Amino acid sequence: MRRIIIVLFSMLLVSCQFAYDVAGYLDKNPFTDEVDITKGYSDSSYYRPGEYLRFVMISDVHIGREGHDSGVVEKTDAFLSFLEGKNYPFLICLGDLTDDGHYEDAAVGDFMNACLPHVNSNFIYVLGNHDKHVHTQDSWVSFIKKLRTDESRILRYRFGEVSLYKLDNSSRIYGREQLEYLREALSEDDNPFRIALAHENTTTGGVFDQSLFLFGTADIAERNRLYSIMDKGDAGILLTGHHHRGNIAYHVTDTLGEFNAAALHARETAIPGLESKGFWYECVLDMERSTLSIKAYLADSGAPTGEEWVFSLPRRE
Amino acid sequence: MKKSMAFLIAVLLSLPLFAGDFSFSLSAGGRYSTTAAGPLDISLSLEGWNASLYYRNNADINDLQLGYSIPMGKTMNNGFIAHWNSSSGEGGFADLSYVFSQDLSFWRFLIHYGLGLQFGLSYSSLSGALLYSLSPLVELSLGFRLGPMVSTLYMTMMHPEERSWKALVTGGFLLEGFVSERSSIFFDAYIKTAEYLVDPMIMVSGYGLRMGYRFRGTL
Repeated sequence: MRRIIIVLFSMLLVSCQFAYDVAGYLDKNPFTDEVDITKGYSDSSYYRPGEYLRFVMISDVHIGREGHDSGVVEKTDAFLSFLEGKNYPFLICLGDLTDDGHYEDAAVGDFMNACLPHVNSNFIYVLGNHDKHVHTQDSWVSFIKKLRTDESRILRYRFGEVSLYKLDNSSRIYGREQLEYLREALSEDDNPFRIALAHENTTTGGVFDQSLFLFGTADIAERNRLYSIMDKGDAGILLTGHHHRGNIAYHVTDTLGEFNAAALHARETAIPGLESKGFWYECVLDMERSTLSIKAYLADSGAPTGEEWVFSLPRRE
Repeated sequence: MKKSMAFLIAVLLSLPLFAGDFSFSLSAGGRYSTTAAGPLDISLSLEGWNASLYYRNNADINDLQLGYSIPMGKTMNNGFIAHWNSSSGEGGFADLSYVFSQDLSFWRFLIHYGLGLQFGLSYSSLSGALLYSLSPLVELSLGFRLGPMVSTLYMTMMHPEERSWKALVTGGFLLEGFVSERSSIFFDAYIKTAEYLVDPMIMVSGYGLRMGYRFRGTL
């Protein structure tokens, strides 16, 4: 029995050491080196320093899904028509651009290439869980490095007065390290406005749908910790996708919230309202009023739905 | 003083009403979790009279479970669990669960399975809004008894150290060695997965080892 106890205690001690070793999956703070995507952009229709910034946002395009699942319609045509003649400073894609991770497919490249000329070549692509279906996260990073050599799955971009924090929660968790690095980076960030981006909906349970059971952040302590970090770091909005049904605004405080975007593709389901009808969004950051407004467009026709969500943001002076 | 004595006498006199088996255990373990503030968990559990209490602390995280079982025959059981988890200054969640379970034994093998449902409410210290979840609960274990040792492989969504807001699976290995008829030492190694249903890649979100002492008695 004495031997058994010695062995068990030894294993316990080893486990404590092991825990800290495995925690180091990020070599260094990925938010330290910001990627400036302003690049001398000067189209005042979309960006006027200190006044406003307009950008476009999509989520869950799921290119390739139409051939796999019944009732699915990929609705990219109206969106690409909408972009014609536009010159947005950047586009945010909140993950799951592909349905099964085959980003080498021509359809994926065609879609991105069609977007790039109208978004200042800034296609901000958040890693989604479907984007890893047949490849690893590292091969996904290799793929997006074709867009920009300094791309990564966890990154901070800067456009004028705005910092965009691209987070990776594609496996349903953020991880302690990523959150601690975010805390550090936000405390050192001198930009007036900060926006966080992630694929999986972090808040769930606001409406009766599939996220009640399954979708979204698994660990509620992570959600609470992220909100606490964002609140203290003056990051007022988290933009997420994954859920498909989307179009949900969660207001945590007066100046902190999450907007869960609907999928760009549509799917008919036996239970109405479980999946998206297909939407994209135009977002306007009003720097004078410190608000972010998000307008939805129907991916069917390209017409605005009339829905608009407004979030008040903290401003760091 | 008189009141205290009267209360003590009343408690002692009422003990025969509660005569039955009980157990208590004390355990400590090393654990890595995506959000746990520290690597060390301290837990305490008390069981008896079909009721159970489990308390765990990890730095700023406190976790409390209260359970009550209603046996059905010799092998089946209806379990009800109230659970509360909070991180100081950040928020937490509370849930209520019902689990039907059955314990079977064949020769040296011990088989256990459980099926249930968990309703949860979460809160953040930043917001007064409550959010809700509804999660299935499943557990399955296969044990083997050899002399004073019982080893068990298990898969569960109800691991006391890893109860979650959404359905998360914890797999592990539990080894219990009986030092005497009433005392045992147990050793539990487990891994919690974060993603397994909508992603083919399994992501480990926590793992740990704990060991403890359990005493079984009868009043």
